[in-house]
Order: sequence, then C-alpha cells, then structure tokens
Amino acid sequence: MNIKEYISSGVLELYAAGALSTEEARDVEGMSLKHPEVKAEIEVIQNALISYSASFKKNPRPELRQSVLDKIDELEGKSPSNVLSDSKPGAQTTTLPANVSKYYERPQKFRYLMAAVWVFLALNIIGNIVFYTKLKGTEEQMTSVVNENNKMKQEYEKIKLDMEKKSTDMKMVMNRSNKVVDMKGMEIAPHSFATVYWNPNTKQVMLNVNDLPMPPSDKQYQLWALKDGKPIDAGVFDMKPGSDGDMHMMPLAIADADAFAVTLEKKGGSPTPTLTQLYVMGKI
Amino acid sequence: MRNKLQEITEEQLTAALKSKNRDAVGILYDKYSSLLFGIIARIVKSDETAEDLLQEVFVKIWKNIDSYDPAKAKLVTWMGNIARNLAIDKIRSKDYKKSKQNHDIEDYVNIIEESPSSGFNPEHIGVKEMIDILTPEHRVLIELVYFQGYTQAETSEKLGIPLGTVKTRIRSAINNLRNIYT
Repeated sequence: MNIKEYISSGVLELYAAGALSTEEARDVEGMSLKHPEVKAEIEVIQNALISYSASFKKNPRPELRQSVLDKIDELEGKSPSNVLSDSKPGAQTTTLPANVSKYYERPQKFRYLMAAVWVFLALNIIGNIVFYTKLKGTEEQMTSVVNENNKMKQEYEKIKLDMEKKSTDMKMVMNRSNKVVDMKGMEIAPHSFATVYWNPNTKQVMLNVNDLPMPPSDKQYQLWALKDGKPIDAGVFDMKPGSDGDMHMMPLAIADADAFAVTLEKKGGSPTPTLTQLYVMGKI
Repeated sequence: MRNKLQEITEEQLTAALKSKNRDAVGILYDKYSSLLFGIIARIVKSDETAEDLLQEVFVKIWKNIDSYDPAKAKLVTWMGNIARNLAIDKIRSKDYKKSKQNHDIEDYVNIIEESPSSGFNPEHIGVKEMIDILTPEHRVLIELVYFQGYTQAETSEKLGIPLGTVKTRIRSAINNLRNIYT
C-alpha cells in the first residue's frame, strides 16, 4: 500500500477519532513519524474534529473555575489563599508572555496604580506647600521692592526739586544784570569766603557761602549791604554742616549798595552789625 | 479578554504548564473550559457529572503535562482527547451504567436529531449549513466513534455495516467536516 492509499484508507480518521485498538494506533503513530504527509494529514483531521467539537461549546458554572484552581493548589500542597505569591522551590518557572502576565496581574497592577496615585497626591501636597512658601516669599520681596520704589520716587522728587531750585538759582546767578561781589575773609576768619549775586533791577540778592565756619547754635550769620558807609539789613541765613557752596536766596531786597558784608549776630539778626564779628566783606 | 487570551500561543502555554506555572492553568481554563465542558456534557448528558469530570480533566492535564508531546498533537487535541476519554470511561463504568439505562441506537438517534447546543459558536459555520453537509449517516458515525468511544468493530456491529464501510464512511464524514472548517 503506498502512502496515498494509506492516507485515504480512513485509518487515520479512525485513529484521530479514537476508534483503533492500542496496537493499531501504535502502527499509525509509527507511520506518522516516518512520513510527514501522514503526520500533516492526521493534524488536519484532528483539527476538523476539534472544530466540530467546538460547535458544542458550553460554559460551566462560573464557580467551577475557582474550584479547579483550588484543586490544582491542593495537588501542589499549597493553601489556596497564598498561591499567587508562592512558587515551587527549585522549580524552574517559565514566565508567561508579557501581555498574558499583564492580564493576570491586574490586581497587582491596580495596587501599583493606587500606590502611584498616593505618591502623586503626596508630591502634589508637598509641591503646594513649597509653592505657597515661595509665593509668600515673593510677596514679601514684592512689598520691599514696592517700598524701595516709593523711596526712590521720593528721592527722585526731592532731587527734581533740588534741580529745579538749582536751575532757578543758576538762571539768577547767570543773569547778565547781576553784580558779582566776592567777599574775602577778615581778620577774625582769614580763610572765609562768600559771594553775592545782586541784581539791581530786581533788587534780589543771592549769597553763595563758599567757606564760613559753622556758627554756634545760638547765633546766625547776617548779610549787610553797605551804601555810603551805612549798613542795610539783607537778612539772616542758616548753615548746615557741610553746606559750603549752598546758595541762599536772601529774603530782603536791596535797592542800592556799593559793598556787602557778613557778620555773626544773635539768632534772628541785629538792627546794626556787630563790627567785631565781621567775617567777610567785599566791594562792588 | 478573549483577544488577550488569543494572543498566547500554544507553545507559550505548553511551556508554562510544563514548568508548573500555576497561572497557566487559569489561562488554560479561560481559553478551553467551554470547549472541554461541551465535549464532556455531550458525552455524559449531565451538566453535574460533566462539571465533576471537567475538574478531573484539568487535574489530569496538570499531572500529565510532562507526557504531552507537542510533536504528536496540538495541545487542544491532546486535552480534547483527555476530556473525551474520561467522559467515555465514565459512561462505560459499571456505576454509571447502573444509574442510566443501557444505551442503544435509539439514544443516538435522539442525539442526532438534536441541534448543536445553545453554546454553539457563531464564529464557526452555521448550524444549518453543518447539518446540511453532515448527513444523518455521518452524524451517527461520528457520534458513536468520536463521542461514545466505539471501536471500528463495535460500530460495525452496532450499525450493521461491514468494517471496511465504517472506515470509508468515517473518512468521508470527516472530509465533510474538513470542507466546512477549512
């Protein structure tokens, strides 16, 4: 009998359906080992029978799954509860493909997920605290910056006022009608020096203190205009420490003069100059 | 779930079982329990008995996985045969025969008249088409040989046809199945 006849005889079908005696079945297995086409034919027959069986598919009660697994655990001498974590000592366990493990380790995965959620929350809270603290710090910095800014604004305003005053002073000083009178130090203070800018048209007098000793706290300097040897009060002025070079707008107008002088007087000034206290003087 | 399970190859499952990976039993169960239960229930005709036997089948698979040779048959064929043999042994046991009436040809005729169970998988061929292709003669034959474990000689005797006819007829019956399923 050739292989083709053997294959089409029906013996392989009987084999696959389990209708052969043990001896006959062994013969078929021998042929299958020798002839790949016999082996292939048997497989096709087996597949057809399984497919036919599959048309009778029926689901057992769902509880059966657990009792089957418990029975396997019993066989392995394990209590069913702690099986998942257990592995047989010494047994080499083939790991399941990743996708399968993924599916079966879902509860564990869920646990990881929960852990991740907690960690995320904790980090979130810590983050919030950090950010809140930083925000507080930033607010404080902001306040100090605003304060500084205000201070600078005030300083700016002050400088602006100073500049305006200086600019006014300068205009007055530079007026072409001005008479400039250098007053030199007298015996009492030979190094002293002051300058008068007098505008005969406006009758305004400005005094620039170049160098004068600081007066005692109960005294004030007083400027005098001299006309034909007669002193005319031009007003008192204050000095602050280190205020050399300050320009003083004198409060009293001077209509006519041929010289100017500064004496040290009691606070508020005197009606006539104390000549022993003559500090500087200059002629026009 | 079904899709995930279908991603596992038989080789991977076999290797896992052979290394006594207990999780593999769960996968095996999810993948094949309905097929194996269907076979057993068709043979023993009692869901209660079938469930007991299904447990035994899985125990047997677990115990005997070392003797399974992938070169000889696919895993599903091997398991199907275990299920079939256990169920056939059951219906042939003295106890079982006592509790049930002796089966004779009328029982099989009844089976043949039954349409396949409600668990019939629509992914496979339609019921009508299958019944059209499998003649009553062929269905009886497969029922006796495959599901009831009749030998060639027993079948010949039961149906009153020559041994050789059993052989050629089962060949043509299975050829019809092959035409349907491939």
